[in-house]
Amino acid sequence: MTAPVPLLTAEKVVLTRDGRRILDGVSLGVVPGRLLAVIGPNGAGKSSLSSVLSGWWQPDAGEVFLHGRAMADYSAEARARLCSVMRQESARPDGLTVLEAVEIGRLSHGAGEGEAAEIAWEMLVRMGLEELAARDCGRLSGGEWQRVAFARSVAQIWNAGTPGVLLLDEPVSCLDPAHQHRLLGEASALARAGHAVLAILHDLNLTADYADDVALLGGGRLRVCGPVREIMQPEILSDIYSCTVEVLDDPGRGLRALLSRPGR
Amino acid sequence: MSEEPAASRARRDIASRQRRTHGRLLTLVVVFPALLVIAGAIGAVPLGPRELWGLISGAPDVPDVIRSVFWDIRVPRVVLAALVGGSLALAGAGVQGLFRNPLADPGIIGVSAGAAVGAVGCFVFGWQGLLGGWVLPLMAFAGGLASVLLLRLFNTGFEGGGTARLILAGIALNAMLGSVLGFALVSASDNALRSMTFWTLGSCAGAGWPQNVVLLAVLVPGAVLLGRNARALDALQLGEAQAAHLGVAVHRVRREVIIACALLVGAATALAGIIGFIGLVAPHMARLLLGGLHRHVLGGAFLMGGSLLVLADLGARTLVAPAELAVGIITAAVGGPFFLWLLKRPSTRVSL
Repeated sequence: MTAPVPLLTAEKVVLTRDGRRILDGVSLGVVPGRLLAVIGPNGAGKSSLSSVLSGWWQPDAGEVFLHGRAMADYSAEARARLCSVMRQESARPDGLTVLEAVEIGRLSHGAGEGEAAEIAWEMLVRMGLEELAARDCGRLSGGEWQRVAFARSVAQIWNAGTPGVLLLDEPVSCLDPAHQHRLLGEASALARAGHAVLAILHDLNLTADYADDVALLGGGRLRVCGPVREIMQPEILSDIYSCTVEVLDDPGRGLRALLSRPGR
Repeated sequence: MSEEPAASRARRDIASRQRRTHGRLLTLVVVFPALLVIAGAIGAVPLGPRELWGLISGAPDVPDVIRSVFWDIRVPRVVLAALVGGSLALAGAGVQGLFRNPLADPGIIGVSAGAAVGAVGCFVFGWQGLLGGWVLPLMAFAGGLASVLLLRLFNTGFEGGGTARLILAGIALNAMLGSVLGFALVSASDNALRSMTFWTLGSCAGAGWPQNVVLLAVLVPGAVLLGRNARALDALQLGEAQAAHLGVAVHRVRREVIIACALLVGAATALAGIIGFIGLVAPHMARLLLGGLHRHVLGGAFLMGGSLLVLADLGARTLVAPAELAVGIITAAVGGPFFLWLLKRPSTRVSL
């Protein structure tokens, strides 16, 4: 069996800000059909990596390729049709309804309004947000807004004809546990459907539940990358997070990470 | 496919919201020309419905004097007020959308202050009568555009740096132009001082058909430039990075919106002086009435701004007749309290 070709690849990416190396030669690929979780301690360079992968920042060295073509060669519109990004934070569009905000996800497809509205509605139903469709975005809770942003990101690569790339920067940071599972379940289903999904996560158990592969970032370098079972090892995790992590492999519950209080 | 009751309620809410928006937009479309006609009827020579109809339908039994008052003086003035108000409001909607800031006034990019410097220079040198009076608007327009180019220099292009830098640079630019204006005012002769002061308070008294044609020639491309970026402005409400990820060419959009606003404010200010508040208030009213989609906000702001300035100008020429008030006095006197009321409403959300 040959490994599928990654839709999005970073090759020896270096990013320097104010003389500090934030990313130091990171190479990785986001493969269709799999969900890649990027984990690592605060300040490891996860969000910077996402900004470079999405084409928002130019790397100082190295290159990013989307569908085999250099990221810099794409127009914003052509890139948006292939690669959808949910940023960690985005401003709320006061005065727009939830449905209108999700429709913006179809902007790069230039389709008729009717089609955009249909797809937006479908996304809301998928995410269980249809009750909020007519609500003003300015009046949503933080968690509701995060789910709307996810729905918009999925609408962007929906029915695009080719497998898309979905970059999610801490997509569940504002969500309660049930909604964390629902959102990551949807992200994982998109990977099953052939899209290439990358999610920056903090929760090791969610990572164990939903990731196919894990990339561990520390100090701007890719420490290790591989299938989730290979990475979820107590030695690797304890070392990177500088605290004791035990990993249980319970036949009923799957992999569970247990974190001890620091210093124990 | 069966849907939850809550979902069908949401679908109904959306449909009724859309109907409401379209109904309100339609109302504005009807009110706008009606206001033009009503304002055209009021003045030193009041016109009744029959005379109005005779004038509009071109009936032969209307005295020439009345015909001349109506078509050569009153209608051009009402139309100028409508176009100036519409231009300022469009530009206001553009910069508020671009800067994602409800406090943004089209003056924030320095156009009106630059236009003022151009106009004041004209008064200082006594050129306002040259070229059939066209030197004044030309210099004001040039001053407005020059100040935006200056802003571009400060900001190493509109593309570099974020919008926050652009706003701060605009504030600095406005302060600098203000000092030039202050110097000109202090050193001007009494006569020039009076003209300058009147100009900086705004007036539609200089209206004529040529002025309207010129303004329209700038307004149409400016409006088209804004209109084609309406969807991009919607996306920009999510922040610049997120808009870029959605497929918006952020730099191009920023450049086009600023150019459009500079053209609109430059031309409006050149022909009618500095008129405050329309550009700030009209887009707000449009958003409150029509929701946040920019294709509605832009259209609504134009109609609302045009209507407001037609009313303000009506006050300017009738309240102290036969003398004239500067229209800027009225827009500020009425716009200020209205804006305060808007802010005080519990349903008004303001985020900076």
